[in-house]
Amino acid sequence: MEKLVEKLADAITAPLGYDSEQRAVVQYGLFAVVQILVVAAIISVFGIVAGCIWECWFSYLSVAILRKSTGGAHANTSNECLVISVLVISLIGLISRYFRLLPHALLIGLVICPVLFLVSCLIVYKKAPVDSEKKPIKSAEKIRRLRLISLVTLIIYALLAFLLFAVSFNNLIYLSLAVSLNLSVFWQSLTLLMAVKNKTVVDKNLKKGEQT
Amino acid sequence: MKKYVRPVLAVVAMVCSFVAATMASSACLLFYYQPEEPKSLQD
Repeated sequence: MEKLVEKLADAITAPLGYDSEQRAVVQYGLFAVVQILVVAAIISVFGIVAGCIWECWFSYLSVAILRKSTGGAHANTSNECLVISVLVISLIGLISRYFRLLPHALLIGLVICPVLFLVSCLIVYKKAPVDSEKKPIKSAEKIRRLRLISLVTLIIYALLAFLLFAVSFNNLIYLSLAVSLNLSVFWQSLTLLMAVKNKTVVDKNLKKGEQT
Repeated sequence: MKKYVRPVLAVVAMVCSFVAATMASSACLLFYYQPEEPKSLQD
């Protein structure tokens, strides 16, 4: 995917006479747009085929919005990223869609989801935002701002989940959406933990390298 | 037809630059791969 984006960026910027830095900015934005569109297209097709399009889209949006402010673990290549994104979102969509077929699904959901959500909130509160080697976050002001946005996002998600559970008593379709939201938040908090763990290992290796 | 190519490319480049700036103000890109951030967008 990266090579395709590189070629596209060349095709766009060469006739406009952009310098290398302007070209890099266009390529960076183009990569984000292509990533968003490709993942959206694949999960839409999967959702239509598996009958869980709403759950997939709910998961897709909730992961993407939260991830923007919290950060998280990253794949080594863009294709690996594509596979992980599609697999995780599709799996959450499927689990959420068929969860409501369980006996006492509403009761189970009402017990498990708040626990998952609280654990996720705790992880996000303690660890967010997590930066990466390729995009370090240095400014204290930015860290504060991203942490605040993460917490506001979680409050909005909590209100939405509460609303979805409330209407689930009349229609179990909404239970699927509530479960999808909760699983997405939980998955995102797990990627935060993975990112923190990877970062600690990298930092330790760097320190060891500096000492020798 | 050719006279529309440059303005269209300029609009596409502008949209991409806007998305890049938006992503630069966040913790990372939306999904699980983070390409190298251009120098002009770094903190």
